[in-house]
Amino acid sequence: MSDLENIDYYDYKALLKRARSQIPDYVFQKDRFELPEIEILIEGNRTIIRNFRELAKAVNRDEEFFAKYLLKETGSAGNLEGGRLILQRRISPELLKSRINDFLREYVICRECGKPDTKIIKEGRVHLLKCMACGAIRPIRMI
Amino acid sequence: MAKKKQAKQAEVNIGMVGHVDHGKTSLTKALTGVWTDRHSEELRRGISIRLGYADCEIRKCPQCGTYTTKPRCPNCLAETEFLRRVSFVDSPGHETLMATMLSGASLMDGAILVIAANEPCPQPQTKEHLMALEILGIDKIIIVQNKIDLVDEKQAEENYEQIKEFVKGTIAENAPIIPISAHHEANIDVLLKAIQDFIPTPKRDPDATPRMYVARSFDINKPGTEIKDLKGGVLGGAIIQGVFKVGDEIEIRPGIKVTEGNKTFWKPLTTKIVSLAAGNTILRKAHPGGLIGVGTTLDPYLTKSDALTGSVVGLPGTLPPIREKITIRANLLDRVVGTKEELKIEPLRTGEVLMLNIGTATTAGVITSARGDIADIKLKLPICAEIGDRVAISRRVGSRWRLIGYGTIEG
Repeated sequence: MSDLENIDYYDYKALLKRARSQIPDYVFQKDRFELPEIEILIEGNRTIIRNFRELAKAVNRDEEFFAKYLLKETGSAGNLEGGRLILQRRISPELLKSRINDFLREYVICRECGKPDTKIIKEGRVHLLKCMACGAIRPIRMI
Repeated sequence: MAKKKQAKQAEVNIGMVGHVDHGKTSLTKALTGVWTDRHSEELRRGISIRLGYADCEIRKCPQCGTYTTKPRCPNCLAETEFLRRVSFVDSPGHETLMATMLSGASLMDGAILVIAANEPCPQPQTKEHLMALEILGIDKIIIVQNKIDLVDEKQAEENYEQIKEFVKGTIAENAPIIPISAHHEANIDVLLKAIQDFIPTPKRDPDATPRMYVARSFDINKPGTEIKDLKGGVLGGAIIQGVFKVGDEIEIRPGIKVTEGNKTFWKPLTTKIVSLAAGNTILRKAHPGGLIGVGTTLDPYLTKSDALTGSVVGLPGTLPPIREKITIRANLLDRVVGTKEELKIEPLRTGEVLMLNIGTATTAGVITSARGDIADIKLKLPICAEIGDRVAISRRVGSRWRLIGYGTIEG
């Protein structure tokens, strides 16, 4: 017979324990999300991110989408080439890293629980960022 | 044992109330499977704007006693028994949409107050929504502490103590506080059992004069529909007493504004019920409980975009009078509850503009005479109300309307 039969609504600690036992374990893990070191190279008038494919894989986002965001934010032309992103402009590494962090905050990190386990889904004409860890859904504007 | 007849229509309306972004819509989805934010702006902005509604069945497994909403027990896979069908009214939590919440609150028989565990309690709109429940006399309340997956055990217990402190001395003082996670559906079965125990179905008189509050209205014809295929306007709302049947002649007050010569007055609409629906279920007659869609023969232009929200529906000749002026006896709160810093509420003043909520109607009014707690008010939009009906009163504070109390109509 279920423990529901004689449940005490006012025994908060027991209810809390019961609820937490029904939540998957990984939800409570607090491991910090670490992005791989960004390898930025400046050659004359061009800036190259050498491990761009690795970065896109780490954040589980489409390479082209990530690249499009960076190109737009930095206001430069550029292209993807063999796992590298080449920007046709000289950009300081600090600026580039801050733009990458903006991308993570907008399109990768869940605002509710801070985890990066999210994916982009489409509902009608609206794009939503759904967190696979805590289930939160947030509308986003695509580029 | 005899199986309880499976109802097509919900028996009781339960409101989801609380501060913005505390998970009311997510909880409604966990219980009913319906995401009530359908409006494109609601998806784009991530907040509820209109009243949402969805219903579900509460079922119990005869073998292991589990409460669920599904036909098969998630624990032992036995067939579950039907207990009751309930309907949820999901209201917006944003402060600027308080009027919409008050409209929805008038349809509720009970309420679930949703408080997020990862924010301090009370938040401004939690206070305002609880005050609205108190004003409207909704005393069957369950408090739900949501998002416990985002905090650790110590934080959850601290938040629990804050909730206890907050509800002390209020209408929700004896409400159970159930920790849940809507996204992970943790403790949802405890919540279902609590709904069965704390929010019983009110007794209804099937012989009472039928009456319905309109919460929304729609034109359900898609653009480009042929004239011969046009369907009449649809009213959405809750029946508060009596029984409506397909084929009934009905009257809708206050109706529409008519100008003849240089005189303007409001004319009730009369139409016929061509269909009744609860969710996706077609009914031949409808009793109180759940939210009912009423198909009529009205020109759909009259019902599009919630134009008839706030109207009252009944049989012809049975509705209260249309009032453009009312006299109320006001009971004001001590402090404005919807703001972070609580401001003291001053008495009503002649010439002051107020926002009033009666049933599902929202109107503005100017006080023509204020003496003590009696006030004569000239309304911008007329209402259809009885002597003794309750009115929620809001006053402009800063750039927002804030709930300041309630009144009862005396004339």
